Amino acid sequence: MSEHLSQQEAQAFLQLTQKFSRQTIRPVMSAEFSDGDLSKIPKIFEQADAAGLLASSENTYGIWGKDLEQNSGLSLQMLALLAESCAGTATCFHFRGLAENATYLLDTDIEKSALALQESFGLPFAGHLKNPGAYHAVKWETRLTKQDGQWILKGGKSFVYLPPDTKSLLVLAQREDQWVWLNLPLHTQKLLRTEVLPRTGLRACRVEHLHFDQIPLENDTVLSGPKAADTLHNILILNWLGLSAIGLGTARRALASAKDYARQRYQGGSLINEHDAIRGLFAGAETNIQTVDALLNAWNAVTEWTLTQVRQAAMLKWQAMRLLSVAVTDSLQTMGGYGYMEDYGMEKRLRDMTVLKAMAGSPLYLKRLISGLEEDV
Amino acid sequence: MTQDRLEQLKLPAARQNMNRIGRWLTDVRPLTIWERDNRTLSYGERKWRKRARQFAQEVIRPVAIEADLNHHRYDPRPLLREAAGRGFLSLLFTPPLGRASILPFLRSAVMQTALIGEEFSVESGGIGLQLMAHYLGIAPLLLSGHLPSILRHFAPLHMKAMTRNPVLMAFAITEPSAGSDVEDTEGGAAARLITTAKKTNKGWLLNGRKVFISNGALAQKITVFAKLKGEGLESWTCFLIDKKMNGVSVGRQERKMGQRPSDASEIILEDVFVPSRNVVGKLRAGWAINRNVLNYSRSVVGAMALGQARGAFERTLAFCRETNLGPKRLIDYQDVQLELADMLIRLWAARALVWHSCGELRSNQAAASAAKVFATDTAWEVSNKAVELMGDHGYVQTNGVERGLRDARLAQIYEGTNQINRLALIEQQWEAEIDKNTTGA
Repeated sequence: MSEHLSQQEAQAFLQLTQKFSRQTIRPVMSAEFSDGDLSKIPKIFEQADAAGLLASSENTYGIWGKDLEQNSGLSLQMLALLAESCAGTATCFHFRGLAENATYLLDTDIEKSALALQESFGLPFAGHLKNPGAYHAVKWETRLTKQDGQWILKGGKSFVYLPPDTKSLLVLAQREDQWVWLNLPLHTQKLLRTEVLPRTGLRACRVEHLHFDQIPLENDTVLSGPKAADTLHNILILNWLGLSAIGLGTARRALASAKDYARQRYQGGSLINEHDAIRGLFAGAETNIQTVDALLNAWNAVTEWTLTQVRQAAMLKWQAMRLLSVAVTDSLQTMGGYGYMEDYGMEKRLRDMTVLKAMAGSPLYLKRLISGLEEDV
Repeated sequence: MTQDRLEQLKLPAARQNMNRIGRWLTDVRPLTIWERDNRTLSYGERKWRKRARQFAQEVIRPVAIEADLNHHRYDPRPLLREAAGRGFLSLLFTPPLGRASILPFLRSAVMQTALIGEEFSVESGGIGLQLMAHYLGIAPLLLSGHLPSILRHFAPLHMKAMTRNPVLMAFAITEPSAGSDVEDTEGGAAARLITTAKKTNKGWLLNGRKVFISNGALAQKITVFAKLKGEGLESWTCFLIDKKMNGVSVGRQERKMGQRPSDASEIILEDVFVPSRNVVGKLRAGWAINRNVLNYSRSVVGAMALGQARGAFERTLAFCRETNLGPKRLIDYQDVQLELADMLIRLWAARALVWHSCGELRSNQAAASAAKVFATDTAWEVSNKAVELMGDHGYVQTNGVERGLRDARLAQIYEGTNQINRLALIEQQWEAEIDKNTTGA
């Protein structure tokens, strides 16, 4: 069992994260490549594991470690700090943590896994959430069927984020009218993988499409049970919170960089941070960032992970991304042409924000979910 | 049964219950917005718009993705030669000096370039910029109004641009410490400029640096603005330089988020001797020429941004048309339709303002700035919506939608940031309406 961290301990952990972000991740981002030297991401991951930033069965304090009731706020702050240096790297940490949390909820001890949630049409709709078979309008594609006494997996997954060193997949599938999770080693036969390239942003984290070409499954592969649906709800919530935190860190750093630039650059004979046009953009960006920070802080004390929270997390992701995108693009605007050039890092932040906004639940999807869940909650 | 009733209630069927005049008054022709807009144009404008769309679809579209993703390996010269041969680089004047249609040109000097700029940018913002930046480079030669500059330089260069062997031009105003300053009156008064022209025997010696010059590496000739030695920005003078001149070199080429096929380069000038005959316009007329060039080009920049967003929209629409969600295509869902409608409305409104700003022969600072701001901000919003509508598919670069977003973002920055352009509008309207005491009027 994990123990509740004291305030001092939590603070020390955040300082460690900040130090790791600045000293280990940021130098890699300053390389000649617009997205940093991506070949170094696996090494960063190893170092993060050694530093205790990644959750595992033994480390409950890493990002999305077991004890969410005590430490979910800490994970959000850690993700934001990591994203200040690179949103793509923070995304790797986030998805590894999500999978780790899911295995905990499913009462298994699989390590180094990644989540395979999305179908070709995207995430589950409101009608799927309790019972995948109940929503006939859009059929779930990844299914288990029994043939000659053996379970066979068919279907596919889209836009699966794979952190470095991933060994297996946690696949969300439908068996009859129930949700089940499957533990599928990454190198399973008949698992066809296609890398999604090239992408606008978050390039530090590999993304793949998967196709399950009638894969025969052993019984111990299926991690079903009463917790399967709860785990799905939990994962959806954490995913949207975590991505929002990554957006927060990205925007925070964008604003800080823009302010640094504005303190050094002249226009019309005075520093640009003395111009109303610039100060207005900064004020708007800071307001948006503070608003999202406050919204995320409200989740620190949440102890329930039901459909009500799924709905609220969807609202948060939708609005947080909207506000943070404006903060990033306005920060970029204050730098004029330099903001658009790769050397200043600002355009990367904008590209990353664009992906964060569209991925794992676009605004249209989130609106549908929020309205679809209204009666359920 | 319900479907039958629904069809009967739609206007094309319902109008059959009207008399002939009533039917005629009810326009239900299945025209695209592009076709409807086309009908408001003159014959000459329609001709160039149609040709440009065809060129964009046949010539630009096949290379657009590769030119964006692997722009270092992309050789733009064959496309530029083809565009020139078809007359797309010579619409800044009418025959015999150029290929602009005469009557529409007399109503608006830039409408025809705005029309083709939108069409090219639908397929590629970067290639669109590559083609249109040539106009920016050659425009000072004409807009100086200086007959020797027009006869000596503009006429031969513009005529050459009608052939398959054009002399490509670029426009160089921005300096390392002066971006917005050279696009705004108040900024200009305190600008920190380094590019200087010193008088010598039979000419001028230019020293300094220009940065972010679109087509700076590709162009053969550049209109460069420099202050006279010992004086300030008020002495700015326009010089026509040839890249072959001793002392001219291309420095750093910027790595940009979008519009990548077109280079943004540093131009280094080290004791470049420029003969007096290459002074464009009068000495010290450079600031006015520069501002006026921007006033003419900002509407075109608006049109290009509009094209970039239209491209993103069209590709998203195709995705929504071809993708099923459950039993229906995406375009059959009402919430998707609302998003698509919103994008179409914004694009249509932006085009209306761009075209309105091109409504007179002489360009107007307020109208041009308004069109630039509104169209580029709209382009940013629409291309964001296009990416969002496609969800995760929106950020896959080969789908071509996020490219519109990356391209459109630059349009909010170059040719004066949109903040600078808002202030340019106020400056222009200050005396006439902003600071006018209307009490008792």
